[in-house]
Amino acid sequence: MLFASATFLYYFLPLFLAVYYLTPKGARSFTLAFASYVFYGWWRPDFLILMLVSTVVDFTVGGRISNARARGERGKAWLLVSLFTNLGLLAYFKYANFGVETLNALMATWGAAPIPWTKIILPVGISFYTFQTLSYSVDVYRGTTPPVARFRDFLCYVAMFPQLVAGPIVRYNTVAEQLAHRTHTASKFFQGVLAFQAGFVKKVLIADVLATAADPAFAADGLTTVDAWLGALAYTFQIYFDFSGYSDMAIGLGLMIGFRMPINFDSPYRSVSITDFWRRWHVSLSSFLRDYLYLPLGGNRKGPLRTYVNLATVMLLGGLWHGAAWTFVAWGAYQGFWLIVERASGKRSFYSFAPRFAQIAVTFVLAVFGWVLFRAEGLTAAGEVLGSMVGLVPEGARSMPLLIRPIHLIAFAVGAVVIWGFPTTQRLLAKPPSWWAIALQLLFPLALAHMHFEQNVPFLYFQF
Amino acid sequence: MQLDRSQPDQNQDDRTLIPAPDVLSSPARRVLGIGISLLFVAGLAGAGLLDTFSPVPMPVLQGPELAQDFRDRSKAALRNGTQMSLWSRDLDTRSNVKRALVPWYISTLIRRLRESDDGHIVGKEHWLFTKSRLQSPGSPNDLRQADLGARILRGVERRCTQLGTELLLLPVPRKGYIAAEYLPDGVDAFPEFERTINKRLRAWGVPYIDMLKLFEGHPADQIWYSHDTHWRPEALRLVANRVSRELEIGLRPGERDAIESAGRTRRPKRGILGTMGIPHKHPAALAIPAPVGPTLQLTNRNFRERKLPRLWRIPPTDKDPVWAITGTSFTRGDMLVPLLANNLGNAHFNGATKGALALRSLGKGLQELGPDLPPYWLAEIPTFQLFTQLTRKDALVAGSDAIDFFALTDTEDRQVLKELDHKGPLPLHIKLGTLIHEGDGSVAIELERIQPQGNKKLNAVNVYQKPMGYPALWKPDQSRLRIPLLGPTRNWSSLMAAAGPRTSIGPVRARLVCDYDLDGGVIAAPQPASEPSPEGIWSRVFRFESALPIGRHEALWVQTTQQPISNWNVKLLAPSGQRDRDLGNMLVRGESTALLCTAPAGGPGRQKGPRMKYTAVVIRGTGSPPNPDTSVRLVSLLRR
Repeated sequence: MLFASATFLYYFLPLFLAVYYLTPKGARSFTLAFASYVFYGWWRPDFLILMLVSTVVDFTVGGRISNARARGERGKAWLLVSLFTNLGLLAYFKYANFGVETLNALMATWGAAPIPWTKIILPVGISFYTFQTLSYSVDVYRGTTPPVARFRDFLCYVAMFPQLVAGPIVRYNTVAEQLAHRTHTASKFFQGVLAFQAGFVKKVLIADVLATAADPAFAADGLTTVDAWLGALAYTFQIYFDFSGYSDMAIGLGLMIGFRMPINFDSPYRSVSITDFWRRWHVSLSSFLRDYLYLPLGGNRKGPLRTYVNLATVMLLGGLWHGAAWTFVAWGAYQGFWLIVERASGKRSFYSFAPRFAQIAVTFVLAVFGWVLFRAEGLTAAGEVLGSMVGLVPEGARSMPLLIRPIHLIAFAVGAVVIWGFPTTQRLLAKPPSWWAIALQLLFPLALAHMHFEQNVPFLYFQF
Repeated sequence: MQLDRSQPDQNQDDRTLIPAPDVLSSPARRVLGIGISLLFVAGLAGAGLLDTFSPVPMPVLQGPELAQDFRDRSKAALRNGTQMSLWSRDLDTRSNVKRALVPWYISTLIRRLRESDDGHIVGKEHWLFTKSRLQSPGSPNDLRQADLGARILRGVERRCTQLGTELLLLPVPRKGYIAAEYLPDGVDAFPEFERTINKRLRAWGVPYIDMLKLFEGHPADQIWYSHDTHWRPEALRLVANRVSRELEIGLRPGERDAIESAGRTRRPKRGILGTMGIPHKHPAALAIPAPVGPTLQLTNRNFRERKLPRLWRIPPTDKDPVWAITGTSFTRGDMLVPLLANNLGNAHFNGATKGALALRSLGKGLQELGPDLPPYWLAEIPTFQLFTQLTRKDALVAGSDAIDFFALTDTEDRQVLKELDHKGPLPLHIKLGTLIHEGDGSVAIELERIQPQGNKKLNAVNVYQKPMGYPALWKPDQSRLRIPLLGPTRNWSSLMAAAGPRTSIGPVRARLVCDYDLDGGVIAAPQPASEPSPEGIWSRVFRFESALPIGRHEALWVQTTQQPISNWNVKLLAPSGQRDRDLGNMLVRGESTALLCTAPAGGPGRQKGPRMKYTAVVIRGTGSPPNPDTSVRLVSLLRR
């Protein structure tokens, strides 16, 4: 079910809120878990089994590890069960198609017959919930979190619909206390409404509008330099407002039912370096990768060379986490390259001498180049767009007169003001200005109109 | 709503979490906060309740949209979420919020921002254009698509000629061509496209009416509505007069100038019968020898019940030839037919086709009628839209809506694939032999092997030429298949094959349930063919001994033993009140076998329930009726 759909907004959400608040406090987590399964099953009921398997396995593993620790053992075997199950699910459903296609391409070059293969459907949100369940088992193994006592709490933690399909990635120890004891106040509910509306407006009125400029640009055969830049900028804005809009909606829904979720964006396009960018963009993923991959690999404790290798590994895998395609690998490598460069120069960018606004501008441009790799259909297409951006325009490329229309210019302008001129959503929520609250009440119906008018554009991060 | 008293959360100082301080500390803020929260929840809940108890009526779908809707609903399942996506779509369609907000929103976008939805652009003076009808299929200088399209039309015309039908094409220019002055700056209407089509048709002697010439000198705002894709009444009158004149004198393009002054070569037709706007099963519709199946477009009641009947003369008073008119909605066929009625003889209009589907409908008519085609055919073809869709796989294959298609040719180099694994609802391994071009324009294929994977039974495969074609039935025991082609044999666009109807095979597998021998017990008593009607239509009913239950997604094959079935229409009948209702659709036909599929739920029969009982198979046709010795056998019943 999409947040930006009539089904969710007019039926699911009001009904859920009514049932949730009519449920006795002790059973609200169960209500939330049940509603989350309905929410997820609305897309593919058969894939609920996967989520349930992952939940049951890690709940069991957590308990077993805890028992083993009580006996003075480490319970490593149980941790391996969790790793095998979650990474196995992820590998099969997310990467098997990619692996077989790559292998078949190689075999074709050798003249061998391809492996017969039926494409597997990627279950929405699998990257998120497998990471969540996995992090729980790892935390229990490390002893940083106690095992969950009640299955319904764990069921609720894994399936919690506000953040189920596109994050933020919530660690168990972040919400463990809230699962058992959370407060439901009018203030929180009000903040939740505002956050949800802000996210909805960002997604529908900015991201979806700019998608109509980015999509044709990335689908074109040849682009002029101007069009390539406009297309890349449109996508740069689109992905930010799409994903941060979703995060705001998730945070808002969480607040409506008493949960405080992790901050996922902190004005990433105001970063002064790529290192800074990764502290602000998809914070829950970057901190997950740091804690569960980078640090176990040795982090920066084993010398500069090993640090660089670790950074490269983390970013390559981070890229691959976003999708099974070489473009994501290239995007990860590109980000890793800049992180290594900055690490080599003492965690500073090579343009750190410049004024702050110039540092922000250069970092933004570097991010734009990165998003081209991220968005393009393939490496060749990415190369063509990047080539056009630097003036290597292919022969026969024509200007696209309708690529940027007045509505896009408005979306760009509003987007730029929000990115560089507005406080972050979390700051606004801490003390919501009245003008902001009232403006959202005017913009929300407008966004509803646009939602009904345009075809539903699914959230970009649903695919990851 | 049960809320706690305001109290700080634990981990309040955790900076990684979203802050949640008490923001409703002052009375004014409390009013604002609670007011906004209530407005939000009550607004959304109110919208849901309103849509539940007083929803916006679902739109009346027609033609291909209706067919697509049937397909979607028949395939919908809870397990894979397709049912839920249908519900979501319906909820969105029925939304009162949508109805209240969207017209205002679109109007504002168009007027203030010159912005429309993604499929349209706003031109000067707020004229609206459909984007897909403006963009070139390839580069602006690449007119290969126009060439290809003209070749297909020539192939259609040749085939019609072979079947004794005179085809007259009405290549409809785009709005962007006619109203080029209203296009936004920088947008090219690509006028060479229409000109090239006409040029080719003229050079090859394919009969057509030059609409470019017809519209010359008429302001665009007399031809098209500025906000609509349909013609204005003035344009309809203009076209109707031109078409009438053309049909009466029967000109051929190559001879046009010479014959223009020579007067009529055929006498005017009388007794027009336009079926556009007739409710399904209207006696008038049943009286028509339907060349393309009476897929009717509903018009408003006043038009349907008062105006249109005044224009009909039912039944036809003479044996004048019947005109078949295939058209699209955007030239307002419902208006054009009555206008033509003033001048023409018997006509049947098949409306509710759009764009490329007009040609498909024509192809389907050719496929189903064979030699029984009406002697004259007026086909309105929105050429540009047709050819931009040529690249879409399956889009134009006659009957593609019910059949699991796979390409036998490599779409890139047009080579016939020697071996392929088809992964569809019915997975097949296919090995082909040589492709032989016959001298008469058809093609033969040597078949080495065609094997369904798993333990599935394959009844037959139909092979089509894409984009237009009619099937040649290919049975597993056949080693050589001959395919009649419409276009030049060495320049075909692709060759398609179809293995059984998707609706009968189902998404996973099909199995042969049983064999019925109609003559050997299921049929009560073979009845002789009826006397031909004044229109020359006879029918023969094979009534079942007891009603035969057949589910929505099941199909049956009917096979004749002595006479070819390919010239006849075969239908399934189901009981309804005092008379039988015609509910079965013929999907695929070969020389002696026809595949019948029951109507999907909510289809023309509107009979509810998962399974229906059918009472008879009826064969209708013109020409020679089946002789008494001909037996009809129900070969198999497929259930998924």
